[in-house]
Amino acid sequence: MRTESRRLILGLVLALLLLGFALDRAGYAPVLRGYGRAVFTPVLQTLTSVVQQVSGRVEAIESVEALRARNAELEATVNRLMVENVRLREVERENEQLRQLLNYTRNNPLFTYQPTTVIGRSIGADPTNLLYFVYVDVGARDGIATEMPVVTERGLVGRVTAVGPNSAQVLLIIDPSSAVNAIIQNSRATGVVRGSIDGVLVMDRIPPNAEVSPGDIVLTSGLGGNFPDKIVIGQVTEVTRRDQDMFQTARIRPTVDFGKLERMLIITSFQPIDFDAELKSGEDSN
Amino acid sequence: MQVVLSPYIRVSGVHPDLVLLVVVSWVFLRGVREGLVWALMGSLGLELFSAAPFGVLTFSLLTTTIVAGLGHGRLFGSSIVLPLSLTFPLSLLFNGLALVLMFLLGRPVVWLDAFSNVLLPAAIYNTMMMVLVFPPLYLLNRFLNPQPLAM
Repeated sequence: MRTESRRLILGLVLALLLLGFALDRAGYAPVLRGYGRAVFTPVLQTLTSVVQQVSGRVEAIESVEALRARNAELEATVNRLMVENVRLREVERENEQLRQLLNYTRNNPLFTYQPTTVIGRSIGADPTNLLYFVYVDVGARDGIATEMPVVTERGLVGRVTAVGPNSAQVLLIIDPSSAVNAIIQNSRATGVVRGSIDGVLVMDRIPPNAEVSPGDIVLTSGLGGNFPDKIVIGQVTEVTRRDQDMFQTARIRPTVDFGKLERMLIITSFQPIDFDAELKSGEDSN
Repeated sequence: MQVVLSPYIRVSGVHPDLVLLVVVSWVFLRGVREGLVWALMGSLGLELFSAAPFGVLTFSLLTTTIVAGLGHGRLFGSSIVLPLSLTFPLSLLFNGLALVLMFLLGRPVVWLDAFSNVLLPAAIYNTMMMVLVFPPLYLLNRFLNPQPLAM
């Protein structure tokens, strides 16, 4: 029975093969294949979709560890770049400040800058609220002496009042004890710029008939011999002119931002004139 | 620390007097004797970095410490209310005394400007900063001097 069945199945297979071969030779095979594909294509599509989804999930599960490692690597890279970015910004800022200071020295050839001209970095301010001093990280070992003027590319900062081996104390022009002989650029009127306890500048002793108006630029006059001339101090913001006063008074907005002092130039070549000593030596020689 | 920090924590031209705040806090926590020791050390440190005539800050801080000591143990113990309420007048006393001494030593002072633009804002700033300065010192005091358990 089994042998007969096997023979029957074998016969049917052979018959189908022969039929298929005959149909293929006769040109009907593509038509039959088309019907077959039409029937099975949706099934194949569904199966493919399922397999792809399962495969994707498996791949995703497999790649979680790799992604974590990659993420950690990228985070480390971002952190490193952030630190580098901060450092580069600081370098860029420092470069810009130094370039501005260099431009200042080039644009002011009247000052004979010595090679020892020092760029001081502000390292602190006076610990009280009552005084306006800063300390810089250069001192006697760098050729700094008292009374040397201190400037930035924006204008006059003050003068050195005390010197240690590695640091110096700078009295800012906004301190109440500071007085700078000044001149108004347009009218050539002279006066004295003084600081005040609230950190603003006031120019007094301006002759009553002098033309002074807001916006005028105020420069050092060089009178008195304590500062070189033609250094910018600030701009007039307000003028007070009263009949009973002998002089006019003007409020000055300093060009230097004293709240953000970082780098300064100390003019080491300037020799302040001590008039008392000069007069005394003149009397002695006579 | 005050020398280095002061340019960065400046608001409206004034910065808090950190040494004063620490000394006043310690006086309220531990009494005037310990406060005077810290006042002396702190003021000598300030003198080192200040352009003020030597002795002005030491005298001002020691005087302020003694005045602060009058309130120790008499009002609210070591709660934050006492330091907060007294920081304002003590700050005015400290800076005002220093300014008077500097004026007597020849420094030009416009009193109304000094009061409205420096002394008053500094007193307000110091009072606000006391909220941050006192609690850690309170905890430090508790850590260094644990209270014995009541039997």
